[in-house]
Amino acid sequence: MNWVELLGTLTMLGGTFFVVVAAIGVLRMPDVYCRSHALGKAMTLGIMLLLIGYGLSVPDASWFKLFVALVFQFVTIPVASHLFCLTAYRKDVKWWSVQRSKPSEAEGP
Amino acid sequence: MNLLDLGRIVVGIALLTPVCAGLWRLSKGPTALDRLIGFDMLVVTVVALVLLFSRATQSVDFIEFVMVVSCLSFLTTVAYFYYLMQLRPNDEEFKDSP
Repeated sequence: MNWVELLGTLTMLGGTFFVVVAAIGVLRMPDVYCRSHALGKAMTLGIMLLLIGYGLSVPDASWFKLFVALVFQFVTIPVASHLFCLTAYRKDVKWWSVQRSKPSEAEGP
Repeated sequence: MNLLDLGRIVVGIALLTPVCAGLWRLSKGPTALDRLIGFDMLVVTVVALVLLFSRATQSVDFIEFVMVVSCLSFLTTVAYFYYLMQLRPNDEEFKDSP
């Protein structure tokens, strides 16, 4: 066990943490806008950390291909996340607000 | 079993969470956009699982697969948005009542 491999495993663990955070955001957020926000930010950081961790822990991996894949993920996921919000805004999807969440709070004990 | 194997197992178990979240959002999403968010999350999770597999077997053959899958996912998303942009705002694909 050398130190570069340990650093790669730690980076992959950090990326997995951010991917799990994005999954919890997609599950728990109340709205299309909030869900695409959670997907576009946390998921991009998580998949980038996973790619860097893979490149650190496999010595034969070509860094050029990894860099191309990383730039591609870095460009496409935020663009897709922006398109979610743009389509939802143009098509008048209702957004979550405090007034809509008040009746469920009033029903509680 | 050393520390690296333990970290790999932890990563593999924790990556079950986005699979379950994506499938849940794909089946229960109130609008069509929610289902598309679930699909996008599933594709990125597939990329993460492929990276974990090729790190466990020390192989370098799957990095092209990562590029092709992310390219196909982006093209699918843009094509579906091109379809959704031609619908009316009060179409039932955008109703948020379950």
